[in-house]
Amino acid sequence: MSGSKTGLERLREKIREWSEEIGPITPRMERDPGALEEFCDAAVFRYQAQLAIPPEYRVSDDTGMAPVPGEGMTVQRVVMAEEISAVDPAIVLAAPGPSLSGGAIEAMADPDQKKWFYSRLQERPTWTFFGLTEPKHGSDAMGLETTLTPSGDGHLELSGTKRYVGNAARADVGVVFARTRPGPLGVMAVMVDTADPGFKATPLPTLGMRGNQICAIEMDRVRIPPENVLGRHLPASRRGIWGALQSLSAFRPGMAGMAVGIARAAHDYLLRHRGELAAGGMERVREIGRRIEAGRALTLHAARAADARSESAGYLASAAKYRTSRLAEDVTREAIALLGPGARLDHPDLDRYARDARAVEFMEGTRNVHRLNLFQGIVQRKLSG
Amino acid sequence: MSASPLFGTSPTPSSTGVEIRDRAREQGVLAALELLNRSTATECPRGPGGHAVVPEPQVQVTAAVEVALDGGSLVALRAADVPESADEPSSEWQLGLVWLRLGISERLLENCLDYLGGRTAGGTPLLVQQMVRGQLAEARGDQIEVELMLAQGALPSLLADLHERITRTDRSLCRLLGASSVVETGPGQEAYASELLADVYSPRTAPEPKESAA
Repeated sequence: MSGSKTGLERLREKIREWSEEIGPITPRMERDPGALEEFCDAAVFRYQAQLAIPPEYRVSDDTGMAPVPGEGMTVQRVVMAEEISAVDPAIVLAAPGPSLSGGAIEAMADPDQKKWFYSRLQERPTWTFFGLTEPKHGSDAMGLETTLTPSGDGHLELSGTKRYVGNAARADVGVVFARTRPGPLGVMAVMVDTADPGFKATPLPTLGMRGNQICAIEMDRVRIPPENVLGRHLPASRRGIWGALQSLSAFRPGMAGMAVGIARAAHDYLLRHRGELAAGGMERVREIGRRIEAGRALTLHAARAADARSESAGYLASAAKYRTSRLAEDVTREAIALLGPGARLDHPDLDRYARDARAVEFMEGTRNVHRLNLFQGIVQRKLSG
Repeated sequence: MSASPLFGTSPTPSSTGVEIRDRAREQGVLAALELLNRSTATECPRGPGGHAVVPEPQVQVTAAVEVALDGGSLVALRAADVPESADEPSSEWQLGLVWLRLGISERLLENCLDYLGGRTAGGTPLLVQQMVRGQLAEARGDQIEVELMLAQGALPSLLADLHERITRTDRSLCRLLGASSVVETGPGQEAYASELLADVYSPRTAPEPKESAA
């Protein structure tokens, strides 16, 4: 075990170093999310993009960092997410690469589709998007209203509206979920080229995590070639909704890592400004540190369960996601309170952490969704011991 | 205790406070702040840390934070950028600010009801889900308590606690709004503006020196 801990520590140090290299872009990214594009070649972006591509599809095996012995990919992603988010969580979400759509590709694409998708992403820094959430139903796949209909010439046409989709305005390609017929098995996922006529993504200004540039998408009869339909080789039960759930579930430990990173950023800030705290403040800072340790432990536990393909993995991922989101929100609020009146103005970094913490809460399922999922784990006796 | 209209000792809410609350609930932060400032003859109140938050100033200022809202923007100033003419707000103004934030919180609850009533998950309206109902009930319970405290003539020493309760309630409501609560054009923006006002004006103890780290 001590060997793997050393490996994780080395990974932490390297990611921290890479993240701090591009940390200064954060204020610019807050004002102009497009500023990110100038930094695509930074090591932290290259590492993220490379790590998200399965080894068998990588053009180069050089991630700049050796795999950590004894630890799986989810653990490495969690560590990466925490370390980057301690600088700026938007750097995780705004990075070029497969991102959440990679989860859908892994779950549903056939080998030719994977080859096409991953090859395209490695030609140059390329953003992707994951088009599931809709205005009336959030990410509830059962309520999807976007339609995928035959165009009469062997192609399909995609029409509908999506909301709160990260990176859609700068993406070249993405995965969109749409309905072909009523019912739970009537949902399909397709790969979409954003340059195709009828596709339009518009950034929505946000309070937090501005670099992620969440967007509204309008699709009006976007032509989809049949080879872009995911899961054609799979039974209906393993296509649309199942694939969406697989994608979301795989990313939850990483979201928890981001939340821990935000809380840690606020904690580190308090330590650096300890001389400005109200009397008795340091005891509260120490207590915050203990809560962050617990959140990190839960997140790594969930990540190791995911890497081991444990039956408890999905439930633990939910526990980690909602509890660390709460941690980030509570810690950032408390940090502002500890620095006295006007702290949001005198300490703009803390103001940003607090705004970012609010944004993490809704990503990949809100607190209620995850509590209900955790409950399922309890009643199904999947979380004992 | 002051015998001002806002710091009354009667359990009947002061008419000015209720009016400010109603203005906030119906028209939002900017309109209510304008009413608060006008009714207390205040121009640019300075918080305990020396900062200030003002509705779109007519003169050139260096804004630390600018929050775009319906009808204009709210500008927050660091202590060094606050005009020298700014003064500490009166007790009436401080109490009126809590009334204002209560109105914004109630407006947020109304937004939640509209939003959750129009959304479904798994084919079921979100408003009928037990967890959601419980959270809405908790939020309203908190708001009622804050209102009663204000109506009874809250002591200045209680104002920080009331601000904190409103912030906690608003955060719980924002969570029910999902992603729409972090879009700048959505109801979460007013909740942020309300928090900013509390950050600057809540009568918290100013930082004192100093505790060394262990």
